[in-house]
Amino acid sequence: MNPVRVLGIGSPIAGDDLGWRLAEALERLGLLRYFPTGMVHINLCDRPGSLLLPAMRGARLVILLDAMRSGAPPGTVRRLDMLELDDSTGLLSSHGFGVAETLALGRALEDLPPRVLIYGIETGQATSLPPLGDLVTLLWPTIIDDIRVCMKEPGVVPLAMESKQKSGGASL
Amino acid sequence: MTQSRKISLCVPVLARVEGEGALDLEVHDGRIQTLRLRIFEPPRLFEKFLEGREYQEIPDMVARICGICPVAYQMSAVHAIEGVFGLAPGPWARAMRRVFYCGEWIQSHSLHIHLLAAPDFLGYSNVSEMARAHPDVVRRGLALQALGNEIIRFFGGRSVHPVGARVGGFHRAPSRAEVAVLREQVRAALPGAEALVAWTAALNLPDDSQDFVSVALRHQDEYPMNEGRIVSSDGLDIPIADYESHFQEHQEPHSTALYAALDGRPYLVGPLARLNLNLDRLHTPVREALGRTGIAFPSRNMFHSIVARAAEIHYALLEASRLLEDYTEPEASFVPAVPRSGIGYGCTEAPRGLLWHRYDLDTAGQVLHARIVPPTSQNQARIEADLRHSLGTLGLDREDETLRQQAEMVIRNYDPCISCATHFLTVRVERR
Repeated sequence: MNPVRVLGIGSPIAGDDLGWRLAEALERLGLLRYFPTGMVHINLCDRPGSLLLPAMRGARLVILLDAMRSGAPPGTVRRLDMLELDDSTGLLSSHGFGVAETLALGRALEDLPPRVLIYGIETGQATSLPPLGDLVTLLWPTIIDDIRVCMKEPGVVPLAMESKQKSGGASL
Repeated sequence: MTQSRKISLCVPVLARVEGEGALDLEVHDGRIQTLRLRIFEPPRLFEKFLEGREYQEIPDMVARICGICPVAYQMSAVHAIEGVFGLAPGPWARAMRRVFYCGEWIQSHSLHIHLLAAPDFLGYSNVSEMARAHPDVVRRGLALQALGNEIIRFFGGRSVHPVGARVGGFHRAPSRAEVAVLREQVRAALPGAEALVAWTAALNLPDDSQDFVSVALRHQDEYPMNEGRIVSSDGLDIPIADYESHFQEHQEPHSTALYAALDGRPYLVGPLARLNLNLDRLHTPVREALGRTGIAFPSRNMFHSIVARAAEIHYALLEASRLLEDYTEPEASFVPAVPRSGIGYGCTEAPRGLLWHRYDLDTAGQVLHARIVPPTSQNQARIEADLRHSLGTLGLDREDETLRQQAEMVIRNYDPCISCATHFLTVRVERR
């Protein structure tokens, strides 16, 4: 079980793939190599709906990367703790069961990791987004910090990993 | 004097795909003058995208139409194409396609019952509120949904937009060992599914009898999924190729979704219509479970749809278990196709109802023309008729908020697939 999971939320469809592209870029740029082997896992979730709950189960920290539409300028990044999200939803269709609804459900069922952070990236019109590289540059240091904070919690880094770290096996 | 009020509700912070529906209600002297369920999703033009594509591409392309019922789109398409080619995929593919479809019914119905419908009947505004009071019920529902997804992934490679189906069968046949594991999971879920039938029937469902026509497939000896004739509660009984002779689609200015009518009248497709027309095709344990509910089926109460969904979950688990018993691996997972020109029809029972496809193919098997009639467009006129009836019964002098809640409950009951994302309902009431 990976203590930290970075999940790109979206779909392969252009305009809805921002979470995926960011997750792929973080992996390509070596986020996993930054931490001990097995510590961080990056995954792409295709409109998971309530299946986001099992995808997060067992983790200590989950970082969700998702597109957002709140009226802010395209490219605006909002970092939200799950505790900041409103529980109220009013769905008409199971097709619209999204991240906010799933987190509210997980909270009600006490089936959430201790910490879930959502990086919402304002999409506006897809064509008006800043280059992906700029967004990754913006996200990279804060995500590294988020993971580091998590790793300092007792029991997050297994003893075998700690000894590997001390012997210089991972660059922190 | 004209009063016009506009209420916008529940805009989520994190939007997946933009989607919007609205209800316009115009009341004159206490009577409904205009009632329009407006869907202004941009047209998705999938039928045009399919033109010029080779037949092998179609199953994967149509799976993209819906994230909840991709299996239905794939099954209607492959049956239509195989009809053109005169291709019979054989008993193994036929049985496994049925199990594949069972997975979709289980996941879609479980989602709808627990995330959408049940909170309405228990007096909660959403499933999160309901989960605090009924955690075990919601957990059972999520487990059933996950099992449905697992069955889809088992045959499709992934549960959203699966890629395992092909013309002639499947790309891969699972091993006996894999099937044995899945079958045990299916069997283990049966008691929960049977209990769900009783649980849904015990909900405080409104007593609301309406006059409507049910339309569904009917097969000679099994509950319909992939095959059958199109039948209705008022005597229609036609082969699927004759659909266009009896059902008409038309455009309304206020909606981007087409409306369908049966000889000019609204009709119902979906689990309640299916159950109403195919009670004698259910497995005995499901009929018995329904019998214990005390509800008389066929039912004219649209709110019995939730019980019908639960019964179909129970049926799908029993059917999947039956079909996976004594599984043997086939020599080949598909029968090769030899393309030829012609017109083919496919009509299967999506979780939300009849899904009708027609393809005109050239000699190389390329699509010249495609037509897809999804369940939601068939139900749209019925939803409006239901809203007219339900809001009238409730009382048009009620507060806008009360009307909105009733309207949402009525619409939710059909689980419309409004381009995979109707995030909020705007209600505009005009009173004179």
